Amino acid sequence: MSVTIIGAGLAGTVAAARLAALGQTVRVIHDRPGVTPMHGGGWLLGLETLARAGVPTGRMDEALALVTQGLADLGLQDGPFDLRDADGVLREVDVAPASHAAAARLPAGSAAVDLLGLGHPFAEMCSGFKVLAVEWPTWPGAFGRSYAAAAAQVEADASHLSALTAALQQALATAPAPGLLLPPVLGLAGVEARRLALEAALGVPVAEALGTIPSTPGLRLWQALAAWRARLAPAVVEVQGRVTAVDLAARTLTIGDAKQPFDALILATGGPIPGGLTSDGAVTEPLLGLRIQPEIACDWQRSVRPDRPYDADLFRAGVPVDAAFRPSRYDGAPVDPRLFAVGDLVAGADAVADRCGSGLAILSGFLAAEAAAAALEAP
Amino acid sequence: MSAYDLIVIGGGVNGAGIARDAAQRGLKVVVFEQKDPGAGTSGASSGMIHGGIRYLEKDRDVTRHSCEDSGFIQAMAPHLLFRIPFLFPVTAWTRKAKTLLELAFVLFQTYDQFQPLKRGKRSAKLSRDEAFQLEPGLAPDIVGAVTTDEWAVNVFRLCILTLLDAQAHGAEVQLRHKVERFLKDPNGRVIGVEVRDLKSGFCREVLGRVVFNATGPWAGTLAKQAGAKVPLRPGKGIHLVYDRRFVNYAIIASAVDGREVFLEPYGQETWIGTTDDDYYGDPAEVQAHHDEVAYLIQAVETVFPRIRDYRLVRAFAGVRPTLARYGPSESDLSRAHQVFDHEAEGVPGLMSMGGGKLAAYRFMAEEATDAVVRKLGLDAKCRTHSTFLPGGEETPDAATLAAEAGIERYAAARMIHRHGAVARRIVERIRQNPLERRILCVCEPVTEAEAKHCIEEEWVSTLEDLRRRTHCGAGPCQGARCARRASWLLAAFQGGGEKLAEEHLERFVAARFREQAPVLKYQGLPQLELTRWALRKGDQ
Repeated sequence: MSVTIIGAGLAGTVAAARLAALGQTVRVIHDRPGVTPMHGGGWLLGLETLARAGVPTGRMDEALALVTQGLADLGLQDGPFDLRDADGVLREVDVAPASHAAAARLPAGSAAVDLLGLGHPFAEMCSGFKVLAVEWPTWPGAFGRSYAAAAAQVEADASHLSALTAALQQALATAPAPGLLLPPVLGLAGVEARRLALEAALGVPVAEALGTIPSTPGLRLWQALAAWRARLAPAVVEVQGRVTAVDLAARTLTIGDAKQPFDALILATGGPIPGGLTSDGAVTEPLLGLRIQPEIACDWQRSVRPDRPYDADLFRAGVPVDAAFRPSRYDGAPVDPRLFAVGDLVAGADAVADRCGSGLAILSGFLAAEAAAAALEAP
Repeated sequence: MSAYDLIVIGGGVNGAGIARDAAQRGLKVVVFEQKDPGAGTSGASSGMIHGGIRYLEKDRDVTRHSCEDSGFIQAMAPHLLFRIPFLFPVTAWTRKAKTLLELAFVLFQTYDQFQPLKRGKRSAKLSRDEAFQLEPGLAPDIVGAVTTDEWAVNVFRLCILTLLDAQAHGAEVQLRHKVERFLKDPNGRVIGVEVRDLKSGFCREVLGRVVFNATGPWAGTLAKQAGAKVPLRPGKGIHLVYDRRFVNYAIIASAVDGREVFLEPYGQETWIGTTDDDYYGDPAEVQAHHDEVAYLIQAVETVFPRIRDYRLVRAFAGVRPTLARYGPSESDLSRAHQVFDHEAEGVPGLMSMGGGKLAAYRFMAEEATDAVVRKLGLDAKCRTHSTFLPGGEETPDAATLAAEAGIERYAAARMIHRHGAVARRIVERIRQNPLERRILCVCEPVTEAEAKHCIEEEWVSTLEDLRRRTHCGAGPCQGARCARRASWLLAAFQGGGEKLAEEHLERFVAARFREQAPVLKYQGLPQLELTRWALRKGDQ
């Protein structure tokens, strides 16, 4: 008996890890990244929002402990923190990786570093910070660059970071500051070690701002999740491929030309990004045609208030589930006792309005995994 | 109150063209535009300044004027133009496909006689293999293709530069001014307009010896207010905008109803245009709809089968001010233009323009201004064809400017495309403040210096205005990456803070949504969600 999970974002990976911890074997099928790599660097768990939506939040601490342990490379720290993102906008987060969490401890009068040569005018609007413009000598070219691209370069070639360190030292010599807030550019893995080395070289506290798309923290999280799943082998097996059809009655799913059996299925396919929900006039769940709530039956272009375009039912739409995260019918009964839906696919979750979707992803992955394990053991 | 010689209503290509021409001839001119230059019909065009083989059979004059004027526009502002070679693939749907190919070639060769007028290359007949070499994405069932050579222009820039030149010759340009009513003397002569400043809300009366109604699709309703008639049959047209340039040739396709539509490389994007449907609503409210999007995609799919794999970014719509005729189908209507002197109807002092094509905008403005000048009893010759638009006098070398400014060559080339020689002034800004070389809009790209230049010198008052001037926020990310920062720049210039920036952002997002909504059915949905995520309000 094994559980199949479609989707390897935060929700899918948490579910896989929990199932592995419960002694189950898991197959994770994934195709392309969804919203997880757009993670900004901090998680707002949104316990009140979840409770209002009827999600039992009592076990969040357990779920979070599992995640903190699994994503040890990110060095997750408990908040709450007030952190700025790379746009200079203040965000409140409950959990953040160490390099970001350090921003909450920067002394007053710290400077925000504006890295010239990168495409973004970071820090100009960071009120409360003075701006330190620094030319990154090994980073020529301004077009099409992003912090994420810079971080990947730093990861690949250590000379970029030593050049930056020298430039920062020079800048601090002319304009001293008690601390520095950097855009998220300190590589993709082992970030905390780089941050500490930079602190040692500069003699002042250094922290990273949160990310903005394309997001460095998102890339880091994506890599850390893959590493976590790899550590869970052989209990967790990964399959790269796109599931094109699911036959619930026969308990098989189709990848390419091959049909593969499953005993229980967890859908962690995401919302509109990357296609867990699709819209062709009507918004639908493409794999099983599951019920969508709120229903968006036809030309929704006309159902949106033009003055509030981004506040549409479309973004709250998802698959309605019962307490065990099983997609439910109109009468509340589950569609199938061994079918589960987690993460952004779940109805009522609007990651933008709720300001973060991570709380739901972690908790639903954790709880659905337990329900799936229980379903497999039931007669 | 001092009277103007000429009050021009409308700041599209026609209004701007007339204002420029009249100002160059020494008239005292004021232009009132209710929104922003090119925000109506002009900006919703496909940007082609072509003679249109389509019109060759029925409106030979339209083709000739358009080709001639296309040549003049190229000379006035060479930086704004870009070449678009056309491919007309013939599909093997009938046994007569080969004959059709020959016939098409004959028609295209007839068109060749106009090509020298606009620096165009002669047409060529391509075998099936040759066609695939040029465009590998063509449908496999073609028998061959015929080519012709056309040019397109950046319409928003054309409007702005024309108005800037009018201003340089003494014309007053008043944007966001709406004409509320006409002023008449006791004899029924139009002697001016009452105009509302939409920013302050206040009205004032402005006197003019001639009032010219160059309001495109609004011309009919506006003329009616003065008791005059401009018989129009407005036609709605939409364009689809795809992410990236995935064809190098415009490809002509036939729609389900036999109309010609085309897939066109435009800047860094690929466009599909266009529909033509009678339109009865308010031109300001025109918006593309799902069914029209489906119609265009279906048509292009016949010659470019993989079109559905590409990412649709948005769809924009506009209304043509086609001259009225009862009976023919929309596409069979003439594209000719007409200058109306309403004196004949007992409304002296008011003139209007209807119909026409972008390609002949300068010629139409000349004809209209000739009529105005005659009316005023003056004798001044048109010079618009022999004078440059601002920045047109020289096209700087991109590599040199890029090195001077410390930006990438590509960024410099795009800036030169928009500003011509004026790009040097933007580089000068960067030299004085090197921080301004930062890229604001990554998709286009647009430097901060260019955005600030436009904000300060080109009447930018909203983010949509900035988009029209620079394409900032109009690319594949639809502002997700640049709109917040652009709102800060604009608000800072206007002396406002975070609140003003937030208002700008909200209005921009709403305007972008209008163009994204029609394509959400396709791959636009994730983009909308992503943009919403990126531009969500700060958690402060």
